Amino acid sequence: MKHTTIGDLTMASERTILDDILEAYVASEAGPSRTTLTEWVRRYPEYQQQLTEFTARWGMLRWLPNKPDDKEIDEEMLVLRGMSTVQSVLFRQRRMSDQMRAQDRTVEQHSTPVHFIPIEVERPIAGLLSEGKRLSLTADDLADRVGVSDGILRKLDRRLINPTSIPALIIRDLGHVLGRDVGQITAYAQLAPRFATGAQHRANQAPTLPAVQEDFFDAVRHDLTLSEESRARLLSLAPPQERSE
Amino acid sequence: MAKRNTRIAIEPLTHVTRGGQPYHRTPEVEAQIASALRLRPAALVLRTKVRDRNAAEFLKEECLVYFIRMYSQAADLDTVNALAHVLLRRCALWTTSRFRALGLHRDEAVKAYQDLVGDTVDAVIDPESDRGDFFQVRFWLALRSRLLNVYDKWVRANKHDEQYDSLTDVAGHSRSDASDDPTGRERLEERTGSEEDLAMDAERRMVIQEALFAIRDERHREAFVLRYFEGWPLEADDPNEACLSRHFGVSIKTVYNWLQAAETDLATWRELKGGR
Repeated sequence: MKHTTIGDLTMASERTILDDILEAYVASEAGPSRTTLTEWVRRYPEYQQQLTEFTARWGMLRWLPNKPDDKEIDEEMLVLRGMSTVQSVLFRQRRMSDQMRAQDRTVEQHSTPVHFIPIEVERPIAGLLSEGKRLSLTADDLADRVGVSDGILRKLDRRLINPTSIPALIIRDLGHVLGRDVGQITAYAQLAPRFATGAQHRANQAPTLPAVQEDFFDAVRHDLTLSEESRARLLSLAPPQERSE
Repeated sequence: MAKRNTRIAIEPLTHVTRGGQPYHRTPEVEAQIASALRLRPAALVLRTKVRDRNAAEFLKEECLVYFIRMYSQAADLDTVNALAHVLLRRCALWTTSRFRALGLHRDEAVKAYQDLVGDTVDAVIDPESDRGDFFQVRFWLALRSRLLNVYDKWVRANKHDEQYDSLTDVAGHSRSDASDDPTGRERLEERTGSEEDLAMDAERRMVIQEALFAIRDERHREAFVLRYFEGWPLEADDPNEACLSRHFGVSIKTVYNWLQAAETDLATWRELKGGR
């Protein structure tokens, strides 16, 4: 999973500012030209180079004639390729708004007085299953995508698994599916074990949690719902010294 | 079922430029949107097929963008697709040929065109922002501006850091062609055209434009266009003022050599043309 660094964010933010400036320059009454450029450079000296390059290319774009062999370019092919790009953008936007709606529903369900959850990195993980639910993923969906059984996923959710035994690949895949940083998933796994959400307990019997967290690979070995193929794949993630056990 | 509202309000633009100027659509675009708002999607799509810009039913690109955003927000993807198809048909060839004119190879130009489509549609339909508003104000200017942004990314991604000076040497135009004395700068400015020359009649410019591809080196061509068509000086005292030597990061003499090389290419082209 590619991590967004502070440097990436700064570059993205710089690019947005520059795009805004260039758009205002184009939208200005006189438009981009050598004479108007001087004024814009005075206004935004830190973008002198970009403004100058933009103005030069703006002029070039106006004057340069088409290449003679442009006539051979197939317009129909261009439109089709363009439409394929449009589909991708529509799909991405639709997915994002679905996620936003799922977020809103979760906020409403918990009656939390939070109106907007913009930055995933700052919101702690309440639970793996609830995170999946926010993204409209059932427990089965999430387990499938990470490649574990429903039982193991629930143990991970309740932090009944020893965090040091969880393979890095499983942490990474959980992060990838839930849109979270590996560090956040690791931090969640290191918290104290907890009871299942909504678990019912008898009034005369105090609820208990296992005294020792289970080893991930032991959980895999004892899970009767896993296919042999899945079990073998998961066990292959164990450190070499543990594989023979 | 609720009675259909006969008066539907046009969604206002909300973007304000860095200079504090709010965007406004032109009255013509507003009128076209108002007239098309009453149409059902199928009728709207039918109307967008009118390609004669002088026809009363013609809908400008700014108008198409408005409806693409509107139907995207209404999750009517069939209509969004149909409108996007019309818009692409209007600008796909122009866009690709402009990328080609700027120097991209054909495959690169097609990919850059796809990047531009993605970038534009993303901005236009983004429900959380008004960053695509300019497309409803001046579509072709907005497209041209985004095209240059995409081109810039391409150039940065495939940077060919060639040495300008060594290239001019290879092309057979050594630096000694230019004056070495301290007053050389003024002389070079004079020799590459006065202000009157720069304001030369449009007809001559048109002829030269036809010949631009006869200038073999892209940098020579760019220097030539900027100098003679856009009026850029070779050098400027004011650090805020654009000039060719600073823009290319080379000496004034090198720029002069490039312009001379461009003139030579043009002279050869004229001879060939005259001999036909």
